[in-house]
Amino acid sequence: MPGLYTHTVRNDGTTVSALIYNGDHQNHIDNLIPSLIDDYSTSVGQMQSTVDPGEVGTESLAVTLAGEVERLRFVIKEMRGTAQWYESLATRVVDVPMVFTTSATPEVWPDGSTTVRGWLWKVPHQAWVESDVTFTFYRRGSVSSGTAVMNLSITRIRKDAAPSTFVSSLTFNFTPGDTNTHTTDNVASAASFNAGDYLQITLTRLGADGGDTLAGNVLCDGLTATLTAFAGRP
Amino acid sequence: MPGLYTHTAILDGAVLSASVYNGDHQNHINNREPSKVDDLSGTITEFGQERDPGELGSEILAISMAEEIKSLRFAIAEMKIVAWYPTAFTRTQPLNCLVFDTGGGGWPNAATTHVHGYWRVPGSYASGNLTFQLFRRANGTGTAVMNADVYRFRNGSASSLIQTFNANYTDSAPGFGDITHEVLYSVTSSNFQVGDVLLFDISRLGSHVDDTFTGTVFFDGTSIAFVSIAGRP
Repeated sequence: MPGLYTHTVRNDGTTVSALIYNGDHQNHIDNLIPSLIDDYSTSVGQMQSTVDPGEVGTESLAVTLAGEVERLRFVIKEMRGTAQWYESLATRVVDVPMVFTTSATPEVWPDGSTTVRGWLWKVPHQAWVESDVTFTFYRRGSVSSGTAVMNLSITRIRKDAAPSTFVSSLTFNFTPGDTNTHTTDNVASAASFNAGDYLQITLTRLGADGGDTLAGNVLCDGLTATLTAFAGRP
Repeated sequence: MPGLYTHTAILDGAVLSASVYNGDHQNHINNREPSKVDDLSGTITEFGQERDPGELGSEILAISMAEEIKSLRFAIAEMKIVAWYPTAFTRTQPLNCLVFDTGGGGWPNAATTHVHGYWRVPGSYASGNLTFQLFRRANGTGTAVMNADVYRFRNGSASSLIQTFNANYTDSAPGFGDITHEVLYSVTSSNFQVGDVLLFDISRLGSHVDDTFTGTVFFDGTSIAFVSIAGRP
């Protein structure tokens, strides 16, 4: 595509006065502004075009203004970790730190007693997009047979407010079938919390319950939160 | 503003020689370079202009170089949060803590108990004091005697207690249920640098003679607010 301005067409026989001649050249200069230079997005493919500018010592120098644009796009894409430089949102998986356990052995829920493990997660202030958050629990049995009776609670904690439990003693039993690590998801509804709130997550094993038939420990291998966040935002 | 070069004006009656004619056109070609193109920052308002380029599958194609620049600004601003160019931004990061209370609540009565949180001063830290935010909750009368100590660990240096805060807790509205309350402490910037690890040790001296609160003070979370380089993890 050409520049986004026009030239006044002259006809045969026109006397090229100084006014016309100088004016026609000045026209090119006057229109050399970003809004009258064509885009580098004539198609979605061209809009997505990027070029790696290289690293310190192995720089890839642009040879056109289009190349400059492509290199800036590339850096944005690198920072965002998205497929395209302009994608606003990305799925982010973060570790949720354990805060407390009532077990004498920190990494387990033992058999024969009630033990609680608690995590605390702060809903990211600036990054979280108001959508549901998936908590993924990594559990493992020290023995392969039986079922551990467990339940899950999630409580919202907010400044100047009473705690609000929006997942209350949800059945979250664990039947491993082997001694490998297994994941179980719980989707926390975005309607239950805001950015900046803390979510206290507790997973309790009722090891003395008659229905608890797993004659060994349930081991905690981790907890993650999967959320939709603004790409590239800390 | 026009392009940043000039045309040599001719006068009426001048002979339009090949040299003049070709030279005047070549002049435009010679000046078709970014440093001779006018800016998109004629005013603060124009300097701040951004344009949403859309999303995957709903792209909004730019129609000029000005729109290309505004689209790039927009993508940067989405990462930096406030706008595309400010360097500093106040960020709040959670401080991950471990509660040393097998009851799982926080700080019980009649014992000395601790909550520990480690935080590494990140490379994105820019300047200024840290604001250490503590959320606690209790329901009852009396005062819990508490301290918040901040220790600094630095490679090759002895550990150092850099600040101690009186963190006594008194329920401001006893009988009205467990309401979470926030308290803020300022950690002085001269006490730490990027790469240091800070330990926040929040303790309750539940057996202290002045500790008159008979229940548990619940730990509801902590975070650190600091001025960071915007967009830097």
